[in-house]
Amino acid sequence: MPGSCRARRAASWGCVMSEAGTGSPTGPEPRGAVRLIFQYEGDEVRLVSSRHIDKVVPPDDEAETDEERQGFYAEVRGAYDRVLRRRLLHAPVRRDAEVFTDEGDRALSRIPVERPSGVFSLVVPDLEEADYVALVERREPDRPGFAALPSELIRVPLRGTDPGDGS
Amino acid sequence: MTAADGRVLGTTKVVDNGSAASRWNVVVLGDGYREAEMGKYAADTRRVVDVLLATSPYDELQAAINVHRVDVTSTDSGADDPASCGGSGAVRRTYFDATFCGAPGVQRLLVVDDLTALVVADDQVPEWDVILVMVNSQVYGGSGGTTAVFSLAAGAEEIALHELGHSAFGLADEYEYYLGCGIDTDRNQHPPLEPGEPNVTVNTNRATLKWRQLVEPATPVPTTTNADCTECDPQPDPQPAGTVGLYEGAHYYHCRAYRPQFDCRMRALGYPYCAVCQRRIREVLTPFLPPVPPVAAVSWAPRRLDLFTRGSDRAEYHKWFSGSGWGPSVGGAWERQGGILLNPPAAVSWGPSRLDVFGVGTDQALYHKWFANGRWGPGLTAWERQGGTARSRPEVVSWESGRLDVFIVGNDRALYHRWFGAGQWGPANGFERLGGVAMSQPHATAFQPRRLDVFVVGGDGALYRKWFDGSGWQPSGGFERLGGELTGEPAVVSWGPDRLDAFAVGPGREVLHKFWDGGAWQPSVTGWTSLGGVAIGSPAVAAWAADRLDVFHVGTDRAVYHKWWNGTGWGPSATGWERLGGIAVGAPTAVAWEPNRLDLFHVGRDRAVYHKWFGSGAWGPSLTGWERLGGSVEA
Repeated sequence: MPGSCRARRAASWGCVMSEAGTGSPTGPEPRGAVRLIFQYEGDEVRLVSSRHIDKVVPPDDEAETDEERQGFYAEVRGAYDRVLRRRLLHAPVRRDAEVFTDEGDRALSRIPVERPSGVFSLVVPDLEEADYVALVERREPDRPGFAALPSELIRVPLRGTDPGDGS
Repeated sequence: MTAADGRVLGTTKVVDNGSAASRWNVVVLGDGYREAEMGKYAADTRRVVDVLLATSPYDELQAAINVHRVDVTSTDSGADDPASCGGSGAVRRTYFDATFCGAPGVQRLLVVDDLTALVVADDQVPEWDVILVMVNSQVYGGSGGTTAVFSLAAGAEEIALHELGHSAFGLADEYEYYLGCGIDTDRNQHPPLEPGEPNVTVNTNRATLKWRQLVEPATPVPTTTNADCTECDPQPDPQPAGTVGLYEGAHYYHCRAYRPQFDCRMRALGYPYCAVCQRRIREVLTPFLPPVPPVAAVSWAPRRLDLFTRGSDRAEYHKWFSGSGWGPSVGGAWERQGGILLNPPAAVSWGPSRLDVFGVGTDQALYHKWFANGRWGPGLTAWERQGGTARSRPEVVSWESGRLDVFIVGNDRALYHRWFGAGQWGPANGFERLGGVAMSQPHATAFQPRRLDVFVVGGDGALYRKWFDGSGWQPSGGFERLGGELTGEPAVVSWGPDRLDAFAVGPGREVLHKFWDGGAWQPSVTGWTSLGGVAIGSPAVAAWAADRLDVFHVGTDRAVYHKWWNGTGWGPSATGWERLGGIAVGAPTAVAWEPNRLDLFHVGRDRAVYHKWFGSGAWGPSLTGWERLGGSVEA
C-alpha cells in the first residue's frame, strides 16, 4: 500500500521525494498578505507603512539550510520566535550601486555608496499565528569555523498593523 | 517635491491574464514624458513588454503575468544629465526626478526617487510585484533596487531584466569582480560562508551542490579553476556553450566562489539567464499560473487506485496502484494511452477491474475508452468516438454496474447528457440537451440507482442543480438555483442516499458549504455557510463513510489545506484548516477506498503529480510531505 512505500522503496527509486518547498515549517494558512514598506539610512531601518493586500504570495525559501547561509532574509515568526515563513532577499539595504555600460562587453560593476539610503518593500503572508516580521542579515562570522552572525535589522509587529483588515 | 512636476493620469492593464490578486504584477511607470507624449509612452511600454515576454523563461510563463502601465505626466521631457559627469547639463522637471550621474562621476547610473515611485505603484496597483521605471531619454543608463530604472537607449531594457533577477527572484550577481577586472585589490578569495542566493556557491561538492540536478555526469566539477586569484580568470569557456557546471569566479570574487554557467544575464548584459536562474524564476512564478485542472482519480476496490491525466503532449496518461506498488513501473513512469485531448480526462469505475475514461478531442467530440477483462478497449492508445461538441471537460458517474452517465457543456453553454445502459448508448441520435447556461464544468453525483444530480455554475455565479428522479429530469424545464457568488468549480459529494454536500469558493476566497438533508437545502435553498480558508481555485471533497466529509483546498501560499466533518463538528475548528504542505498549481483530488482512508493528489510546480495518504490515523509520508509520482501534466 502507499503508506508503506517510503520504508520499502525510497532508497531504490526515490519513491518519497520532498516536493520543493515542503521544507517550510508547518504553519497556519495565510489570509492574504501584508505589504510592508521600509526606509533606511545607513543600517537604520524604519517602517513607513503596512497594509493588508489580497494576493498570492511567492513561495517560501527552504528553511532547513538557510541557517548557515549569508544574505538577507525576511522571516515571519510566531510564538517563541519560531520561524513560520522565510524568504531570501537580495540586498534590500543597498551599500553599493550597480553600474551599467553599453560599451564593449557590456560588463557590470559595483561602486560603494558613501551614505546608503533608500526604500524597499516586503510582501509576507498574513498568518494568524504570526507575531512579527524580522529582517535578518546573516554575515560572515568573525572567526573561521564559526556560524554566520545573524543581525536583526528591524522587527515589525504584525498584529494591529492593519486595523482596516477584516479578513 | 518632485510630484509637483506632473500628475498621475491613471492605469491601464496592458497584459491581462486575470485578477491582480492571483497573478504576478509588473507595474511600468514612465518618467520624463510630457502629457503630449502619452502616446509615445504607451508605444515604448508595449515595446519593453514585448521584450520581457519574449525573454526566456518569461515567455513560457506569460499566463502568470499581468502588466499595468501607469500613465504619469511630467512637466519636462527627458531626465537630468549633470555636466559634472560628462552629461549635457540638462535639467528637467519630472515626476520621479530622474537623473543620470546617480553617483559622483558615473553618468550611466540613472536613478529616480524610489519612494515616490513606490507610493504611486502602491496606490495604483496595490498587488504589485515589481516596478519598472522607464525614463524618456536616449542616453544609456539605468539602476536597480526597489525599482528597475532604465532609459530608452538601445539595449537598456537589458538593465531591467538583470535587475528583475535581483529584486524579484533573489538572484546574485555572477561577475567575479567588484569595481572591475584589473582594478580590485581585495577580491581574491570569497569568504567561506555559503551565499543564500541560488545561483552562486562556495561549495565544490558535486553531491551537495545547489544545482547538482542540472550538472551532467560528464561535466567536471569544478568546471574551471582560476590559476591566478589576484585577477579575473582570462580563460575561455572550455565546455560547449550552455553547459551547466561549476565555474570559478563569481559573487564579486576571483576565486572560491562559483557560478553555474560561463555566461549569464546575471554576469553580463546581453546573455540569456543561465539554467539555474531560469529554474529559480520558474519556481517563483509558477504559483501565479492559472490553476491546472485536477487529476482524475478512481478507486474500484480497497488498495486500488487509478489516476488519469493529460500529458504535455496532450495524450492521456494512466498510473495505478495495485496494492503492492505503483504501475506501470518504478521511477515515476506513466502509461501513455494516446489521444489528443483538449482538456483533462474524466474517469469512473462501475465495479472491480472496470474503468471508463472520457476525453474531448481536438474536434470537440467526446471520446471513450474502457478497461475490461484485463485489457483496454478499443485499444491501449485507441479511443471510441462518441460525438457531440463539448466546450467543457466531460463529467461521468455510474449508479450501478453496467451504467454510465456522461455530461458535457456544449458550445451554446447548455448542458448535454449521454448514457450507457443495458448494453447500449443513448440517446441513439447523440446527446440529450438539458439546457441551462453553464459557466463551469458539470459536476454530477449518483447517490442511488436511477438517481442523478448535476450541478453547474450559472452566468450569475450561482450554483444550479438539475436532477433525474428515475422517471424524468427535475425541475421540469429549468434548473434549481442554489445561490452563491462562486469563483471556481464546485465540488459535490454524497455520503448516503438522499444526501448531498456541495462546496465552492466564495467571493472572499472563503470555502462555502451547503447540503441537502433529504428534505431541504441547509442553511437554505440559496444560502451557504462559510468554512473559512483563503482558497485559490476549487475545493475537493471525499466521504469515506456516512456523516464523514474531508474537504481540501489550495491556499494562497499554494499549500494544500484540509478540514473534516466527523459527524458532530468540523475539525480542526469551524473555520480552521489543517496545513498539509506541498506547492500545488492546481486543485487537489481526493479519493477514499474505505473508512479511515484518504488518498490525495495535486499537481506540483514541476507539473508532476504528488500524492499523500491518510491511513492508520496519520498522514503519509508525513503531515506536510508528499510522494512524487512523476508525470508532466498539461495545464
